[in-house]
Amino acid sequence: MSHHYLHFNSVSFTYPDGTKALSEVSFEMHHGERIGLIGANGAGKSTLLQLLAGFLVAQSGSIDLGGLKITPSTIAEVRRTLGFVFQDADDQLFMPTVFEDVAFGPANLGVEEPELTPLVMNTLNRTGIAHLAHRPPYHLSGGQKRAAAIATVLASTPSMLVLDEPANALDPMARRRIIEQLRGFTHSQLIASHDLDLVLDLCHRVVVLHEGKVAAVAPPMTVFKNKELLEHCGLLPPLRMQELPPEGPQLKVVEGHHHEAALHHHTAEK
Amino acid sequence: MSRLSSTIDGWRSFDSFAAEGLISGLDPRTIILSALCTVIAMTGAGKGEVMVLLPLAAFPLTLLVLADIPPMWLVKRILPVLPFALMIGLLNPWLEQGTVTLPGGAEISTGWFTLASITLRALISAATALLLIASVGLLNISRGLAGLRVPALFITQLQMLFRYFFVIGEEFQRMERAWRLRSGSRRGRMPLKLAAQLLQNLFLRSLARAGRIHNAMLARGFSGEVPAGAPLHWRLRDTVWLAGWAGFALLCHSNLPMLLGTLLTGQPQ
Repeated sequence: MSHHYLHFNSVSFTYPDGTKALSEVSFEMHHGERIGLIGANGAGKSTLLQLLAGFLVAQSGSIDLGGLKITPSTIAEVRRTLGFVFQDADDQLFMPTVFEDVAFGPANLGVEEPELTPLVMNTLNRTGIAHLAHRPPYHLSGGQKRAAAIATVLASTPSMLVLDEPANALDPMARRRIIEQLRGFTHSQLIASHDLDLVLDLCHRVVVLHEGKVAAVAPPMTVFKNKELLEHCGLLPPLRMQELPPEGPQLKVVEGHHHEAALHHHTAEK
Repeated sequence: MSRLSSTIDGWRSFDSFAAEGLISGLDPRTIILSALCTVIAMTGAGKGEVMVLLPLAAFPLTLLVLADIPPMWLVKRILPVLPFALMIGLLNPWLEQGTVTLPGGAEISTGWFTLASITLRALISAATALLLIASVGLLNISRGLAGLRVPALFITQLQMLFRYFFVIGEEFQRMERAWRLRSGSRRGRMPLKLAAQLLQNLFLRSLARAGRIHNAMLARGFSGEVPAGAPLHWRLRDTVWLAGWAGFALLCHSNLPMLLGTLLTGQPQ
């Protein structure tokens, strides 16, 4: 297996309106590693992902992916290596059926029949949505759309996955399924998310961005235990690490309601 | 859901019939070429011709039946064409000087035939175009066009235009829903001034969304051409289909009803 890794080397980017989005950002990612990219809104996460996908070009510094420097001339090659899952699955799914959407990437890379159909079906099986192959994407649920969006990039057999808010707007079961799926992939993964519980579940290391700069690169537990750092970066620890009040509100199911489980605060009844 | 939103939703499932029915077993080039024959025969018909045009409706009707498309689906979608066709030919019965004597002896303006001819052409053309996409699917039409050596740039433009329509539609749905939820007592019609502002916003939003979709395409190796997919195979049934419809179109062009009349009565009509 090639030693693919990602290397951000003093990358800076300023938007044409003068907004400095990234400043001297440096970090490395090793092959097979899952890195969480966290930070408050406006910290520079989206800009960083756009630079990685080649939608924006860094004004200074360099980004290497698998030993290949990302420049406008290498971007086609880079995109063969990179699977980018967008925040809004509706932006990612644009073909008439899920099958055609999943086939789009490999077909662009020159995969033709008779290899194309088995590749697509295999990918759909891996993501558990083979039964949705001939459904129009807009008829799918949020979780199914997300799984289809992931399938669309997996079909191009990338070495690295870049996921922007992979659990965004998913119900707990769908969120759990996506986490299990991502954990099952051997790809290097860069996951930008506000869902710190997901980051804690999945990632080996965390890159904390604050006002366009790297505030910390460390294992999730180390970062999330550092209250001072989190506060400085406008973040809160994952829900499961937050201390519950010793006598928090207690809930009980009110009997006699057959159609709706009515929950009332125990204290409110007193 | 508002009427416009449900209309947009209806249009989204536009080419969902493509996977079903007997049409899916034919090469897309066959259907495109036979549709072209129908259109050519129609354009070749004279200004006030009605009898020449009527048999040509057989082509869209055949697509409708073979692709198993509900007739009401088609009726709902071609009816909006009617006002435009009527608008073009509405004054002809009064403007045209010529008259035609009907079998009962009554005389009517040739303009009525022109109006009927314009309406018929509009309806048959619209039905043929709609049913072509609905029964074959845009992706297969693109493959067919590529197989017919149509420039890739044109095909990509066609696909993008088709998809962009839905991008605008989706954005409109979201904005319209947001307005409806906050419109309070002003339910129903949207004030014109507000509609103009929303329209402006709609184009900005749909442009931004189209940009994101384009990025998603680029990220998956899109380089300006949508891949053609599986190679096409021309079979005997394609030849039979095309020869049949081309011949039929030629007969219609030569005034099929008159030919039939001559054949049946033995006297020139």
